Amino acid sequence: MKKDTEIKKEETDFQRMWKVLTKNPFGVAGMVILIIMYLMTLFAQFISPYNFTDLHSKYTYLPPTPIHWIDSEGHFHIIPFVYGIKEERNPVTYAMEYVVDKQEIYPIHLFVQGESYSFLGLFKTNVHLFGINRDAHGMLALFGTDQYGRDLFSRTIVGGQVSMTVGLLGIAISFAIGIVIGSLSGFIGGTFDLIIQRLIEVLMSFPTLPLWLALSMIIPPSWPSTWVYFGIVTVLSVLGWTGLARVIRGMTLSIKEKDFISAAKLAGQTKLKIIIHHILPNIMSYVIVVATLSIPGMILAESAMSFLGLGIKEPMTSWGLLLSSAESLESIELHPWFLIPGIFIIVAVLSFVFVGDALRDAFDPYQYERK
Amino acid sequence: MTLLEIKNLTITFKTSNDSLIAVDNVSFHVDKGETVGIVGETGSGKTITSLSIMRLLPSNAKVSGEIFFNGKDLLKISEKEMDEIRGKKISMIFQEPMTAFDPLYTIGDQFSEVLFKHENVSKLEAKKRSIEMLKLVGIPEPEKRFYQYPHEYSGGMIQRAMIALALLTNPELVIADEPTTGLDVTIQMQVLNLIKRIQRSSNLSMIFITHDLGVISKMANRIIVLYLGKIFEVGSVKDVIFSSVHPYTKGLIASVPTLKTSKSQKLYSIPGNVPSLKEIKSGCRFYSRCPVRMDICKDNDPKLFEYTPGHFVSCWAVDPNRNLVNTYE
Amino acid sequence: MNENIIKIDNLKVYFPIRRGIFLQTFGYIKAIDGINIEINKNQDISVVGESGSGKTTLGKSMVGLIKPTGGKILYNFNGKTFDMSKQLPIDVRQSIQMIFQDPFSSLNPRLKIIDTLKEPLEIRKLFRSKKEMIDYLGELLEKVGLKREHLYRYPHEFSGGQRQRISIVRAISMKPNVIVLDEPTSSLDVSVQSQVLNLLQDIKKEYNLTYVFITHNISVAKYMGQKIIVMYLGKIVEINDADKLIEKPFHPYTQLLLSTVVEIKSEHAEKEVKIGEPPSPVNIPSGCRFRTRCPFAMEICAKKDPPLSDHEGSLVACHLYSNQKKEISVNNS
Repeated sequence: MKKDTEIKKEETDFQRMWKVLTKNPFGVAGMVILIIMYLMTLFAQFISPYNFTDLHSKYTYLPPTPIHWIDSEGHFHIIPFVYGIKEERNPVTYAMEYVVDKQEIYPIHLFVQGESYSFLGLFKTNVHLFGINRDAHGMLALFGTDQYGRDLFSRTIVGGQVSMTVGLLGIAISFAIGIVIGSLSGFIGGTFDLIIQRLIEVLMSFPTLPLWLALSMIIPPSWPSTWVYFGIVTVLSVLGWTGLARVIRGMTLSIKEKDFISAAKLAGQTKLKIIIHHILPNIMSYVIVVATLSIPGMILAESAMSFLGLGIKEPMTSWGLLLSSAESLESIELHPWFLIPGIFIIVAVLSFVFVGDALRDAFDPYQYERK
Repeated sequence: MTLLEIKNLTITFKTSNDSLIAVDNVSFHVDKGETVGIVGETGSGKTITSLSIMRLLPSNAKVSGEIFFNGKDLLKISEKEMDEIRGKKISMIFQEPMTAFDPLYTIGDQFSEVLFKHENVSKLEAKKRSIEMLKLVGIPEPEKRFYQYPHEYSGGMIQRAMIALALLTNPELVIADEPTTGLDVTIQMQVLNLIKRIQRSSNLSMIFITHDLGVISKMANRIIVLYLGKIFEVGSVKDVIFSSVHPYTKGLIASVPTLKTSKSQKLYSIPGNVPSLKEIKSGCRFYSRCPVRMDICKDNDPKLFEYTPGHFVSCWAVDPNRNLVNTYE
Repeated sequence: MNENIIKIDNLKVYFPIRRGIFLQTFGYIKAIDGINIEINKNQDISVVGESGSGKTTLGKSMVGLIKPTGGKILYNFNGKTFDMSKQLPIDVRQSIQMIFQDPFSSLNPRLKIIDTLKEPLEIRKLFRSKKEMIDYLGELLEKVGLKREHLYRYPHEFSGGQRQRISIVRAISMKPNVIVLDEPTSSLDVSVQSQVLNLLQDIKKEYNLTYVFITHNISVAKYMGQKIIVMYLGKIVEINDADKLIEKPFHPYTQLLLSTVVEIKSEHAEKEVKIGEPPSPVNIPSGCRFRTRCPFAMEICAKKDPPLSDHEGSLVACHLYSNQKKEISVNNS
């Protein structure tokens, strides 16, 4: 039965979208996780108990330190604590080993003073969200430490700054390129379209890995790490716009045939304004969905590049780079906590996919337009 | 002899906010060899009614009432039993034949499959019967066409193939849902003639659904006028088209321009739009658009009564019982 | 007084059939293959044809949405002649409008009605203040039977008939001289169709418009037009005054069309008409295009395409009438 005569109650697009969106439990979960993750990356230095670059040569390859509430004598502490750590020689293997020193108890305090850093690049401070006494014989290493004794928890959170933004920034750039090229290609058509389409096909047919290799060679090793970061983003988006442009072209082609575009032409509207006023708003919702669903690809690409040593370089860090220290089986066996950044990648990617799927359902602008 | 009898059919759709009554207490019957036309506009429930006979309604639809086919209530039998009736004893001709055929299989494959499913026939037998049926609906070179894909058929031809498919299993009842809407007039004439010829020669029972009064008056023995899920008028073509009683039927007929309509003459038009199901309140559904409405119509839903033998109408303006209704309460 | 407002001169519109990665042209669909029409001011023309006849392409070419492959469409605006395939000054551009068939595709679903309606007015810069413009549009909406507050709603809140009214407002807000109507009522409910047809008639009188009404329904064509043009596979087969054409159709195709009209309250003769299938527009028969379906096809029909010529006041393209040959009984179909 045709439903199109049903008059909908006053309800803005956004309200309707929000209603559908919040009904999808996976979408909501994904959104919440992403919000937490982005907040964490924003305040990474503040949240992390140590500076991600600071070496603690006394505590290399330290496994994750457990947090306790009840001490060895059975007393309950309201404030959770960690035990101290001392080095002892194993009497059998004569290897140096970390032993928990149950005599020393270091409570975890909020807003402790620790290593100094620059808060959001605004001012210098040494207050961290949580941590233990600076002079403690031990570390609060939630995810353990690496070969230099750097705290993996702090490094993971700071690494998120790169990994989580690379996708957003990369998509923003490829989005811009994709929209301009895709909509023009679809709207103008003809030879222009033909050339663009063949160009995209050529770009798409390149194997990505060698192309990354080649493009990352262009980034000079002497560049400061922030420049490298933007270099990587550029490399990713230069390769990433093609898919988006295709999607946008296809949608433009279908919208172009609608009668309201003809009507705008008959009113004497210019081509550019037809694209901006009539075509883009009608494809935007789909494009946002496609974009959301392409962010995970970018995150994975950055991780892969960094893992291969082509991406982010020390002293900067990212999840991919952190994972690269877990590249050998031996390393994973000895230090399984090196895989923790990988969990972050998986969670972030899944969250984006869930949110993208939920957005797709919510946006579907023609769900009440169908005949 | 009555083949299909629908009694008090009510179909309710549950949406997230409320429930809409798409078909409201509809009763009618189809005799053997008879074509019953259902005519109605958007939202009249004509398609929903036919889908409910086939038990093909979406899961959010609640159906109540009885649909007797050969004495069996289709709403009560098991899904397995229904499977044997659907497509075998009752078949359907759809509006868009291109979507009714699978583009990946040849017409022959799709014909044979139906025969394999419902009748224990050999491959050769299935082919023979399919080709016979294609020939019957006037498809040229049926032996060659048997091996062709749907896209190789022209618009008129695919519609005829659809009709052939519907008739393949010798059904007792065929439901045709706007089978000629969207076809060119010349092709429409061909298809209508074809349907009529076959219906007569094999004494088929048919439900013919359309919004086109011209088509229905050519095709049907009896006509049901449906408006927002309610029957407004039922009767023979002569009753409903030539001496219609309900103001809606009258309005519909008067508002179609014909070749005899003069240019200077203004077309009659029913005021307003077909309201949405949500807007229906108590009383007659046509109240807001009716040219002869009375006070009684506002709150009292008229019932179908026999105006002249075999001609039923639901309208207070002609209902002798209206004085019995207390309008003050 | 009877000046031409539109003159179509040997119009041809071919759509290339492209294939392959470099989109080589493999042939053409000849949607319109050489037609000539002159339309006088305030003369209503109806164009009738089946799908594939090129009637919609003709309409779109008239308003300049499709560029002709050959020939010219000349449009007379205030005494000056413009070529519709060229870039037009904005007032000329807006003076020839079109109303489309599908009410669900003719309004941008993302824009409020006001935003759709104000677009042409803003391009033209017709109003000094926004209030004036809104008043103007509100008045027009009321004129077509809608309400002022509908300006602030979205298209999905309207039924098909209401959307078609909004499209009418968009067209007349530009104060056009000519409106091409492409099956404006064919997707509407029966009870709404007559409302819209009446409205179109009223508006025509009020705005002194010239209509080109494209339809497949010959009854509607007769009701809306003084003249009827019958098209078949990209060519005109017959032009005559509407009443005369219905009363005495000359071309066998016109006769076929009229005999297949299924009308309410008319006694249907139960005779089988030889109808045949229309050929594909990619493969047009030689000579007369209708000969493959024509009951009177002669030898000459396969060889020579009959020109449109005068026969008893009607312009017919048929060899039957080329040298006043034998009279053919009209009801002989």
